[in-house]
Amino acid sequence: MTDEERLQQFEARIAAGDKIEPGDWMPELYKKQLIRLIHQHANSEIMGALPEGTWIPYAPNFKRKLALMAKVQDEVGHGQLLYRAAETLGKTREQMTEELLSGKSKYSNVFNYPCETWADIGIIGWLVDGAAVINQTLMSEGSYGPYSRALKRICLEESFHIKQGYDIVITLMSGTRAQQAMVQDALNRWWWPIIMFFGPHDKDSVHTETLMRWGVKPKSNDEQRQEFLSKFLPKIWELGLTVPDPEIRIDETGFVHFTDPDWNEFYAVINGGGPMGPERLAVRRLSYQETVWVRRAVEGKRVGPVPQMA
Amino acid sequence: MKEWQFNPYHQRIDEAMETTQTPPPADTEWELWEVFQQVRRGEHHQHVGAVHAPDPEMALVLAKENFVRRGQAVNLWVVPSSCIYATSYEDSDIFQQGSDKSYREVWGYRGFRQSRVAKIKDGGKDGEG
Repeated sequence: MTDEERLQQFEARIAAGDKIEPGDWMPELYKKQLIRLIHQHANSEIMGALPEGTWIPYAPNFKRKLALMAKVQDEVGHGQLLYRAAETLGKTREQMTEELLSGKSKYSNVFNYPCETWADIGIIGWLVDGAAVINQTLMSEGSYGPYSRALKRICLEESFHIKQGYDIVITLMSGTRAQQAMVQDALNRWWWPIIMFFGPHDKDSVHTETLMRWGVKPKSNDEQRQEFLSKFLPKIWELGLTVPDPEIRIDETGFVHFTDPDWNEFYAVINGGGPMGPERLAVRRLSYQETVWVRRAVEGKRVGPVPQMA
Repeated sequence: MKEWQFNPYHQRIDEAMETTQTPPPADTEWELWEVFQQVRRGEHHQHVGAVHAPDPEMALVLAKENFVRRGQAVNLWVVPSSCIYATSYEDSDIFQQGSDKSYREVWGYRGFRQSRVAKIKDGGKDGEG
């Protein structure tokens, strides 16, 4: 069979809703794009644990602390599932770890912003995870079997994340004026990073076309952003919150009109210019370095000197 | 009153920024284990995914952490992925059935039975058609 025929067969299978499995023939570009995408997704789960992890010691009560720990732990578990899915395409987990630590491979911009108050934990859980679930639910219908199966499992857990975030927001919004103001402040700061979360407009998105053609990504960035806005805006307004965009409105067809975010910021943050970019990676490296002894202990080897704690 | 200040130090950002600008090399190449979960006694174990671990005990610990954080299980198996032998999707025509084998299926007997029973009850005759 020629590659041309194989490609036809491959595309026919995708069109028929078939899942592609690791041993199957696939175009090099499909494989390359999937590795890039799943690797970045896995990195995001791991790095996503950092901003929220910051707040575990400061949780306002024990129940919130347990819930936040469970959420952060979930995210790390999702990272493991996703690295595994990417590995099925031939890249080792060690390679992916190295590329994350060296800054060669990316993760979601949204985790390079600081988490300043407890209300940020509510907004992140509710809206950042809300955005992530919209994205991941769609992607879980995608054409690559191992990724699709990992995402199905992940989405089940993410729904708890949204609920715990929403619950924090509702609790603060039914509290004092100062608490309400704290939520509004958090929303103001997170709004633009969340709008940018879905990536550049379709016309500027370099990877979207390939990903959509081969059924990896069932809906475009702009379509996902619309879905998110029309689902969450009414809920935001319902709580008496506003978003920092004077132009935003839902028209009679249900379409959400909004101001374009500053895409220069988006590209700057991707390339390491985020307010917390260098710190996040440094913390990740430190943590990797200091857990050498855990990996050695697991292997049943002598642990050696425990790293000096400052 | 001392003004409350957010202290990110438990993440030791300052220290990290000073000491870890070069990434450490990845130091594990652990074997892969396929994980099978049994949800209730008496049911089949079902494949749920895979984990990396240096030995089967650790694989079981990680399998539990990865796959049974929620939901239920009464038993887990881990099997080295290298021990899995599989048919090839390329050869999936081996599963195709060449001729009509409806006689070995439940649905091959659906429908006409009821009408035949009704006929018999009516005192009618039903011969092999």
